[in-house]
This record gives sequence, structure tokens and C-alpha cells, in this order.
Amino acid sequence: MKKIVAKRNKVEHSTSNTKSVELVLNPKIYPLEAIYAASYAFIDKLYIFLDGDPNSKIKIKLTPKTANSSLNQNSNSLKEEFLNELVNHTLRYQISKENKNLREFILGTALLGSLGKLNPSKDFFTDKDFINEELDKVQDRDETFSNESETAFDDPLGIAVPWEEKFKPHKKRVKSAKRVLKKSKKSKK
Amino acid sequence: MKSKSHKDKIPHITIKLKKDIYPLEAIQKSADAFKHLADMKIENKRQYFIVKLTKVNPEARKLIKDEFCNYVLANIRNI
Repeated sequence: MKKIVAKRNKVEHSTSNTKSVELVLNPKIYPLEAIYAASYAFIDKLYIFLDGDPNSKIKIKLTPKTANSSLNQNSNSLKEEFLNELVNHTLRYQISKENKNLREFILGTALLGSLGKLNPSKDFFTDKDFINEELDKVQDRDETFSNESETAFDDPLGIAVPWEEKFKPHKKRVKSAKRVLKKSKKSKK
Repeated sequence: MKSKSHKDKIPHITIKLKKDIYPLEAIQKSADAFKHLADMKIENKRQYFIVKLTKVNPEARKLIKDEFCNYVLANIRNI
């Protein structure tokens, strides 16, 4: 918590007009990715324009969309709400950065589990050739399975036969049916 | 001296977007989405991409600049 408060105090300066507020942020404290995310969260309430140098100073101009906006009543509240969101996204960004390796490890382990290898070796996470070999094996296995499924399909009850083929009118049956009809007509006469 | 036509009198709208902040792909996508409101032209000038808007729809004239910037920001998240 102390960390966050310290960061909040490091907003370098801000100038506020009646309509828009301008913030100047240090990208070492607030990374550009966090600024993008915070801006995206406010996109329905504010017009946001970014400028400056992403290595030293990032300028953000915030303009409320509507005159009746509650944010417009006080330019400070507008700024504060945006900064709160910025802190939120900065923290999220930091956490995701810290947990990147762990997430990749969990995902890799889960993928290996699907391959049938529950205890992956270190090579799987470091050696690209090893990963490619494993993926090729899976691909080969899938291909052989699909080929087998095409040839070795057994359908003794004829369930897979389409309806049109199964009940296709046979020529002989049609002829005999026509004869029967003719006979019945003659007998009526 | 020839009098200027109505179109010439209407000033163009230019938007300067920093290259390091706004990726070209997001700008191009946004320009494509806004092409029914104005003629868009993207120029490359030093540290900036300059978007020139001509023949702007008079109804959209007031808001188009801010809305375009917001749209580019939203597109950055999607690319």
C-alpha cells in the first residue's frame, strides 16, 4: 500500500483548464501499457490524447465527453479517478510481469499432461528443438489416428449410409409398381 | 483574383500522433473506420504520424478529432 501512495505522489505536474486536464507522468513509474489500459477504461467518459516521450515523460490530456458529466463538475475528481485507475492497472501489469514465468510453467505442464508426460524435463521449457520434436510427434499421432478412422470404420447396421442412398427407388421395384397400378386401373374399368 | 471555393475555405483537420505511442496499424485501422466521415491521409513526419482529414462531414466536424484519437487508443488494445 505504501508503494502505491509513493507512486501517486510522483505525478510530476498537472495543469487543469475548465474543460480539460493535462497530466504529465513518468513512464518508469506508470508504464505505457498501464496508461493504455487506464485510458481504455475511461474511453466512454473522456476524450484521451497521449503525447510526449514514452522513455521520459508521457503527457495525457483528458477532456470530458459531455458537459453534464459528473467528472466535469470538478476537474480534480476527473484527474483523481483516472489516476486511481492508472494505479490499478500499473499494479496489475506488475503482477502479470512477475508471474509470467509461473503462468508459462503451469500452461506448459498442462500441455505436457495432455501429451501423456506428467513429469516434464527441463528441456521442455528451454530447448526449442525439443518442443518442436514433441509437437511433431503429436501431429504424426493425430494424422495416423485420422487415417485409421477413415479406413477402419465399421458400420454393420448401415447407420452411416445416407437416407437417399438407403431408400433409393430400385428400377425393378418401380416397374413392378407401375404394372400393379395399370392392372388395378384395368380391373376397375 | 479568383475567389476561393467553399471547399477551399474549410480548413483541414490535422492530428499529430506520436510514433512511439500510437502504432501505425492502429491508426490505419481507425482511418479505415472513419473514412465515411472524411478523407483520411496518413503522413510520416519525424517522430509523428500526421493524419490529415479533408472533406469532413460537417455534422462530425466538432467531434471527429477527439473521437478518432479515442478510436486509435481502443484499437491499440485490439491489435
